This record gives sequence, C-alpha cells and structure tokens, in this order.
Amino acid sequence: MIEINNVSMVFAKKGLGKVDINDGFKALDNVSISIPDGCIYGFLGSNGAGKSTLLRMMCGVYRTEQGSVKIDGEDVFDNPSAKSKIFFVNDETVQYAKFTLDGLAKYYASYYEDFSFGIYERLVKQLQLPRNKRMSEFSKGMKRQAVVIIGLSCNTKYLLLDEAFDGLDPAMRRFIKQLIINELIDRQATMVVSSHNIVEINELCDRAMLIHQGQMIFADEIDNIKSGFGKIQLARKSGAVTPEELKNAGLEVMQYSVMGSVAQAVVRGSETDITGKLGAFGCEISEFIPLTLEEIFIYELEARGYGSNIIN
Amino acid sequence: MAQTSSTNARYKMSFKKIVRAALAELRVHKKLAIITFVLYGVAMLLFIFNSEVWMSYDGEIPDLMHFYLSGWGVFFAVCGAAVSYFTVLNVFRDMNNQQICDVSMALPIKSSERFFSKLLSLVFIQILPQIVCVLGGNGIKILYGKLIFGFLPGEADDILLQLSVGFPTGTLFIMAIVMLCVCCCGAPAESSYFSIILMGIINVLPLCFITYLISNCAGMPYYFGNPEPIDYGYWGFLFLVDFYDKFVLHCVVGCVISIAVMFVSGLIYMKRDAKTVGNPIASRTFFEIVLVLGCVTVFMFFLMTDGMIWGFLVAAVAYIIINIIVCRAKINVLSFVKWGAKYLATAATFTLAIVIIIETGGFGYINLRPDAELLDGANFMIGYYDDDYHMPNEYTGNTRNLRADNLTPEQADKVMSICKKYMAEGSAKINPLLKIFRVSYNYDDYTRIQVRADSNKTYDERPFPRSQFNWNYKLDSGYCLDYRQDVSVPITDAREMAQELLKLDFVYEYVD
Repeated sequence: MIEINNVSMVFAKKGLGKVDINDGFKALDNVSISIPDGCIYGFLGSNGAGKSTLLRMMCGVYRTEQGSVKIDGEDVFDNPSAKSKIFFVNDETVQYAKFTLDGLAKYYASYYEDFSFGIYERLVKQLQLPRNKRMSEFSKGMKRQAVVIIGLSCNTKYLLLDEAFDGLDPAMRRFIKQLIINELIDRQATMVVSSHNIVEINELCDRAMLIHQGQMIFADEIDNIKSGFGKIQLARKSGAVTPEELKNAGLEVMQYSVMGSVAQAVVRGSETDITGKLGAFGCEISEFIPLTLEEIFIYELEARGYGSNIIN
Repeated sequence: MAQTSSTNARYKMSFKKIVRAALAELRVHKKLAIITFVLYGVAMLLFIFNSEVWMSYDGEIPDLMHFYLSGWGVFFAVCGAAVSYFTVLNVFRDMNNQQICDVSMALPIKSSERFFSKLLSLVFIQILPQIVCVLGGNGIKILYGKLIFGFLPGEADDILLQLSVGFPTGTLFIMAIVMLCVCCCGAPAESSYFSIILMGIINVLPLCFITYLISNCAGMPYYFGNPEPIDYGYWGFLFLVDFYDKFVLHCVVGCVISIAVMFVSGLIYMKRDAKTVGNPIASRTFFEIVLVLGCVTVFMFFLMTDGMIWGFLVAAVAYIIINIIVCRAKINVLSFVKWGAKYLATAATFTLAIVIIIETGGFGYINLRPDAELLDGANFMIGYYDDDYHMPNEYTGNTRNLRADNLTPEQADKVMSICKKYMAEGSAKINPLLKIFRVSYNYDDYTRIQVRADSNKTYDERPFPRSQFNWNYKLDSGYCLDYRQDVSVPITDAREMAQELLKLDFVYEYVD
C-alpha cells in the first residue's frame, strides 16, 4: 500500500535562492491519498498540477520535506528496500538514447534483484522490438514500448507511469495497456498512471484522483466519483430556476446556464440526493443526466477558474 | 513483511551493489573507457620508443637506455587526462538532467552506494586504462631492454615511472574539480564552465600570489631566495613544472587533496535530491566562493601585468555576466545593485589585503631578504630609466647604468648600503595605492632601480629548483653573491642615489 500523508512541496525560483515554504512555486499543497494494493490508480490534473511531482516523490526522486510518503509502511526517500518495489517510467525517453534494449535490460538487472529475463524475453518477442539497435534510433512509440517491457521485467510490486502512453498509436496503446494489465493482474501488482487522457484513465483505472495547482480536489473509486456529480435540466413555465434557488435547496452548483425557461446546471451529489431535491422547484420537466469523467474533470477545473480566461 | 526483511538483508551487501552498479555505469560509458585506453596506450608506446641505447666504452655491450619525453606522447596523454573531464560530466549527468535523475534516483540503491558506484565506475573508465597502459608500457620496456639488448633499462627511465604517476595525478585533479562543480551545479552548462573556471583559478592563483605578490612586495623576485611557486601549487597541474625534484611528493599530495575533494563532493551529492536539478546553481556557498576566487585571480593577473584598473573592469564585467547567466529568474535593477555591491565588497577587500601585504612587506617576507655580507670580488650593475625623452605610448628614455667591478666586501657593503638606503626611502615615498595601480606610474616622476650584484666565483651547479638563498653558498674560499633587486622609486631618489654612488671612486658610469 502506498500512503501519502499531507505532502507539500515548494520549488525555489530558478536561479539562486533559498527555498522558503511560503515563497517559490508550491507544486504540492497538503496532498493525502492512499493507494491500495492491486489497484490501478489514475492521476488526473491540469498541466503543471503536480502529478509528476507527486509521482517523483512516490519513487524517492524528491525528498519529502513536509508530510510523508510510505511504501508498505516504509519511507521511500533513499531507501533501497522501498524503492526495490517500485519502477518509475517518466514522461520522457531521451535518457535511454544511449542504450540498446538488451543493454537497458542488463542495466536494470544490475539494480533490481528480481529482474526477470524470462518476462523480458517473452515481451520482447511479443512486441518484436530490435534488441541490439540503439534506442536513439527507435521511434517514440518504440521507446515507450521498450521502457514498459523493462518496467514489467523488473517485477516490482508497484509500477508508476507518468504519461507513459504518449507517442503510441491507438492500436499499440490498446495493446500495451492490455499487456500491462495482464502482467499486473498475474502478480497482483499495483499501477499508478498519470495522464491527461481522461478516457484512458476511465477505461484503465479503478481509482483516480484529480489534482489542480498542487491541491487535491478529489480521490476515490471512479464509480464513486462519477456518481458524485450530475447534470440537471429544469424547465419551468413561470421562469427559469435561478442559481440562488438551487443553492437554497441545498445543491452545490458547479456550473449554471439558462436558455429561456430552461435552466441547466452541474451539481455535486449523488443521483438520489439530487433528484430528491428537484421536486421543490415545481418544474414541468426535470431531468438528471450522469456525467462522464471528462465532464467532471472540465467542470471541476472550470469551477476553479482553470481555462475560463482562455475560453472567455 | 517477509519480503521486506529479505530485501533488507540483500542491501547489507552494499559493496556487491556498488560493484554491480559501477559495472552498469561502465557499460553505459564504455566508449569513453576505450578512448582513454587508446590515448594512453599510444602515449606510452611513444614514450617507450622515444629512447636511446648507450654503448659502453668498448663499443660492444649496450649498457644504458635513456628514455626521453615524447612531445606527441605528452600530447596524447594530456588528451587522455582531458577525457576525464567529459567522463565525470557524463557519469554525474543525474545531477543536472531531470530525466537521467529520474532514472538514477528511482533505482533501488542508497545515495551513498550510488555515489561510490560512480566513483568506482570512474576508476574503471579512467584510472584502470591508465594502469593497464603503464603496466603494459613498463612490461614492453623491460622486454625491449632485457630481451633485445640483454639488460634492464637504466635509471634514466625514471621518466616513464614519473609519467605513470603524473598523469593519474592530473586525471584525479580534473575529476575532483568536475565532480565538485557537478555536485554544486544543477545545469550542464554551469557544471561545464564552472569546472573550467575553477581549474584555472586553482592553477593560476597560487602562482600569481606567490610570484608576483608576496615576493614583489617583499622586494625580491620569486627566483631569488623565495620558495618556488610550485611549492604552493601542490594541487593542480603545477607538479608538471617540477619534473625531477619533488615530483612524487607533489603527485602524492595532489592525489590526496583530489581524493579529499571527491569525498566532499560525495557529501554534497548524497545531500541533494532532484529538486535542484535544472537550477543553474545548487550550492550558493560554492557559487559565491568561486566568484570571489575568480575575481581575485583576475585582479592578481592584471596586478602582475601593471593593469590593475583594467583588472577591476574585466573582473566586474565577468562578475556581472556570470550572475546574469546564472540568474535565470527575472532580472531587475535591484539584481544589478546587489551584484554591484557584492563585487565592490570583493574588490575593496582585495585592495585592503594588498595594502596590508605591501605594508607588512609581504607578511614579513621582506625579513628574508638577504644582506650582502661576504663575497669574493663583487661586481655591481645598477641601472634605472631616466626620463629625458619619452614619446606618447612609447617610452624612449635613457637608461642610466652604473658599474663597479671586482669590489672587496667592504666596498661592496658601501655600494649596497647606498642602494638599499635609496631604494627603501624612495619606495616608502610612493603611496601604497600607487604601488597597486602601477599603471599610473609616470615616467616623468618615477623610475625603477635595478640592482644586480654577483661575485667572481659563481656556483655553477645550483640545485634545481633554487629553493635556497643562492647568494651565499659557501665555496672553497668565501661566498658567492647573486643579488637581484628591482624597486620603483621617485626619479629624484634614483638620481640622488646615482650621484652618491658616483662619489665613490670605484663606481663608474657605463655607456653602451
């Protein structure tokens, strides 16, 4: 289990300067989540939200200055015992340019005691990647496949993927995802994946969290997340339902629009909770529409002003 | 739980982990190891075959082999040492490249193990090829001498052994400096150019400081009676200057310092996480120290070339430019004010230090200046520039020369006392600040007295380096004199000195 408790992280301004927790760029602000074993966890967030920073903290690349990150009860920074359970794939592949695929396998085998050449051979065969060609000559997609092969071969309990499917064509994306899921299910491993692609997270993950400007907005099972929001359409002859009326009825309105006598709003809450409150408005037509994860993402961020300045 | 304890047990064997990680690094950088091996291999072969076989008097049996420095051999070996610069930058890329840092720091290995594995990989990539080449070279040398000529190479082949020690010393120095810079900087550019700046500082500053400051302020040229500058350059490349006398000592001390610096770098490496990766400078203390030392080096360099004003200007420009490069955040007027203030503080402290050094005669070094006491037929040449003629931008004044030949000790003492009196009084009349900014000397007002004295008997086999006062070596009878003194004085003092000297009937004016 990965437990992240009240983690904050501040980066100094570029150049010289002392890091002050109240100064600089606050990449993470009191983030707490727990990732149970055996799940596939998705990190969602806007650009620069702090997803990669959190992933780097989880694999010990950053020291935890405030709060704690524990892997199976152990601190992760500078702790080989905890780190041996994690394989981290970051969002770039340039660092592997010097290696051949076989060279990369040997490199990681030197560090990961449980590296399985059996898995490696099988996956290389399956993906038909050139073994002795320098990875600088690989396409971006091939590099991604190569790193995923190595990650799976390291046989770790936790696999952390930061934008790992970028550069893959849709067919290969699907294939790689299936490959990872099969491997992880076999060994009851946990995967944490960060992505901007909400559809992908929706398909792949059973849990997700949304982070924005370093602050966690929600973290839960995907089904629970989806059931926590809804879009309502209310038509009333005597005049459109106003946001104040919705608020007075105890609904948390995230977005509101009106066209004639028809009001449309995105509200927080379960379907039963919301529909139970709709009767009070005396509408001729009232409808509840469940939201997709993508819509939740957009409405949550819009509610926090993200992207609104671009749209307006 | 069981998995955790078994994992912990594995990590107790850290040496095994270090070796495995070092071998993994070696595989990544094997090309650099091969390049190093080729360069040193060629260098050693050039040294070995740049030899001569000397025949004994009967002309039949070869009995001695001499090995000489091969210019191309030195060139290739220097190239081999220079590869270490790129090797360290590459091996420690995790300190300035976020992507490589992600890979490196996420690996299941402690930061200390990771550092030592990198050190070991440097040994594999840089030191091991040198050792192989040295052993191979010496093996070939023995075969060459023993099998072909039937004897072991003579003592003159020391040069090969010295090279065997010298180049690893140079390599370790480069590695230590680059390692320190890489650990204190967070960007590849800063790691690279700070390494070069720091290498320059360490090699130039002691030389400048001793040669042109303490000795000059004490009134003695460095070669006269002072310890050689090399004695202060134990760390760096100055050991190459003294290839015979204290070579091994310099190499050993240099290696020890380099290793100590590497361990300091290690402490910084272990303390860092990925947070400062990408920032130009990770350690502000390091940055400030390098800037101050850099300024002092520029000041010293221009001080010795009589262009102190230019020194302040060049250092100021370099100081500001480096700050601009390093400060990748927003620059505003306040930034310039801050940098300017720090620079002025550095320059003021330096000026104050120079004044103190001048006033104390080079921290009392002046007391070591020899007196002319005993000699065996002394000859004096005393000269100064007289300002009769000068043209814009080009001095064309007269040189006035006084001479005295074959003097007795008493006569020599008289000459010396007059010279010393005017040199001391004249020098004291010059404002210490004027001494610092020698560029402002005016030929109408000032001149430089040069006093040269030597005895009829000279000591031909002076030890190298001349680390003792070479003016009073005892010969069979009496002493030999070798006295040199250059002092700037007001021109009126020089003229008065000449007048007083010419009153002595054994001093005459020499006209070329």
